[in-house]
Amino acid sequence: MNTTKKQVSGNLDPFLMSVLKSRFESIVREMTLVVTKASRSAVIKNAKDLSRAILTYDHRLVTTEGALPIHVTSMDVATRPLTELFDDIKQGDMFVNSSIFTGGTHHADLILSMPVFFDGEPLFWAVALSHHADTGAPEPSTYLPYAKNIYEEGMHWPCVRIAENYKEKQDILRMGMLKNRVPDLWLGDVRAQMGAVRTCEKRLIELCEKYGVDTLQRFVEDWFDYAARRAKAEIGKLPAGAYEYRISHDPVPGVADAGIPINLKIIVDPDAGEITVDLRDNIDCVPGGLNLSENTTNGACRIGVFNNLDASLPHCHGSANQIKVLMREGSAIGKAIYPAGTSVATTNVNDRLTTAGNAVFSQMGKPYGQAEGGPHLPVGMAVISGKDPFKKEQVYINQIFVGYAVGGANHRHDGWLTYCGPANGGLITLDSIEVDESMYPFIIESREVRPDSQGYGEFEGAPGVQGAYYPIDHGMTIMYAADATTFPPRGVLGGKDAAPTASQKMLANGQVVDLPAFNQELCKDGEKMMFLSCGGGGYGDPLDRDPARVATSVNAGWLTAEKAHDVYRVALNAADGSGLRSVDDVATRSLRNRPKD
Amino acid sequence: MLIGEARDFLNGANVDPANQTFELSFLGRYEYQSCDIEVPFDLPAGGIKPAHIDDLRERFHKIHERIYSIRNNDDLIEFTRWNVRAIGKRPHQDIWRNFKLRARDGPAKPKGMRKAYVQENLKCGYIDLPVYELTSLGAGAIVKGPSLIEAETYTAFLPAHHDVEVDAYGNLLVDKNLNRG
Repeated sequence: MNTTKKQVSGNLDPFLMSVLKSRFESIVREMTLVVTKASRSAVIKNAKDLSRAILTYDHRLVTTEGALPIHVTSMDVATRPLTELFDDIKQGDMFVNSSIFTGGTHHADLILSMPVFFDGEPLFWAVALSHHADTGAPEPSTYLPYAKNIYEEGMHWPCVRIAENYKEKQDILRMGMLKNRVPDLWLGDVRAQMGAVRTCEKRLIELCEKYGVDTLQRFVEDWFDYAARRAKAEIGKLPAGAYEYRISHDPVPGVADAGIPINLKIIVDPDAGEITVDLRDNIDCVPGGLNLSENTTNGACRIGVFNNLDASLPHCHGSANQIKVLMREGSAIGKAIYPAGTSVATTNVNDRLTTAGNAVFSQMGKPYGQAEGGPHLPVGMAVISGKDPFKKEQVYINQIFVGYAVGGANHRHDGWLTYCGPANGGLITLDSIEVDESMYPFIIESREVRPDSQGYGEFEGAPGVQGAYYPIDHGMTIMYAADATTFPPRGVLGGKDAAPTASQKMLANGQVVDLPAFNQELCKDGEKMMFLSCGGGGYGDPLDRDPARVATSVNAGWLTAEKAHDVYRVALNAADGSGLRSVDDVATRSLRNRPKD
Repeated sequence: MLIGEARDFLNGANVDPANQTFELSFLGRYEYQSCDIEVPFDLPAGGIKPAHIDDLRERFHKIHERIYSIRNNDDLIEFTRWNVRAIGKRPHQDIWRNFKLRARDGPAKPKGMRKAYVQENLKCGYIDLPVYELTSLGAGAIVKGPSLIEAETYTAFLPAHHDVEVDAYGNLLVDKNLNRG
């Protein structure tokens, strides 16, 4: 909203403020429905790797309802270059940005923005981000850990106007289609984003007509003030001090042979209601695609802090403004500079950075902080590609979300089974197996919880996910980047580490072989890809875990009775008539009275 | 064929042919979408022929644009299901239309006054409002807001500048004169 031209003051009555907050949220939800239902690629319509947002015209985030955290928490970084690069923005324009060098997240996230005008005045940005199935990179994936620089990546859209006066610019769209392995799907997916921002524009104009621009401007200012007050109050409850956390992404041969270390420091100032996240003590960019962008670095730091504050805190400009991020240009954990490779900037190292933000608060002791959760791109969420033997050898490419990493525990809560990495924060949807199999020539043979893979603790991490899939009548290319194979998620405050990720293949003769963690694999007809994602770390001493919760984990099939006995020192009675096991209180007391190892 | 089945169904339920209507629609989607949308259409005389495909395609594009604010003129459309909605009216179903209110004679009169808590913009508080009884109003009666109208199953609150005209069936037709005074 263009408050730079006209300063407005807030103080709407609280009921109207609540109504308008919900109206903005419902608009964003409608945008999400448009993209979900009108898109073509499974990664968007099935897994919901998409996000919508509304920002003021001067780039302050208003609403992010139901969006993936890493997509939108720093959306201001992605829209700000538009008003810096264009001085002729008009009603009916649409712009795309997928370049980290103009504020984007990574090259596969196409951020489509439309200015919303009312009575000739620009008020908002309607933004629809979708992770596209392909970007035309040299290798068939949108995640390229070995791509050293932009020249080895897919198409970057550095803030490009693709529509004017509500009409698509066909020459620009032709460029996108030409540089894409699945051009028809790509165009359909882009148009779904266009539909979402057009829908947002319609709804915001209706809102302006109903309530008046002045009322909306006052709402926005009040909303930001409210979020800032809430954030200050939450931060004010934390113990003051400086806290540090060190974590590492797995080694990637030729890119980072010893791994990519991350040093994160936070300074908590309860009096000012501010948290500063300092990342300046980190390594330079690595010669691969794992470097972070300014957008994702900033976003990951904000997410880590938000994850440790009250869940009802609004995530918008007002609250984000209480978090200061210090980063260094040219750092892998900072602002990558041209032409550094950043194709994996939203996941792997980014997951680790967010995890560090989640976990650093545990340095304050109980009840603060979280254990480490699992990072991205095991074989269960690989990019698959090939030529469909049932569709005249038509090329297909898509990221699957069949089995992915899970969450670490925190105080009073076990880890989140469908977390899908801290970058996504549980907002990604596990693929519908039926939709995947109907679109692509493969069979998902199994998907199940991986027992005993969780980090044990007073509150235990979620167990990982395991399973297998195989192509039908052709060879399928599988690209994945399975972090946490070397460094599995760690527990905090006495909690235990989780089991690491593993990537395997079953050959046609039934032999199972281990695969590299960062790899492009051809799965031939008759072979099967096998994924075993890591669990999440535990929080607190396992011997402090309520025995009843241990029995629940065993009865759910997430924990074996042997681990219940050996790790938790909980003895269970034999299964009753319904197949459930209960705690043997006497034997458990005896076990737990033994001295600790 | 579907219409034949639908007609047989209604005949089997002893619905008079004069009270039978049939609404046609198809479910469709652009290739690779997972969600269908419902598109109404009229059955051409003699059934659907290849010459009607353009019309059906255009109907799909229009509904898609209405729902999703976007159309894809060159994309393949998949027709996934054909629907006939069979509607059979009961005899005398519309008999209520024969019962009309008598016309209002003279201006509407409230049956009393009542305090109500009202908020308009930032102002709020209790104000005295006139209360009307719907059954006493009659067709064509005009009631101006702010006021209350009580009916057997509901109470209607009319904010300021909302005027009501009661129609012949007792419906309240609200005219929002928001620009007034």
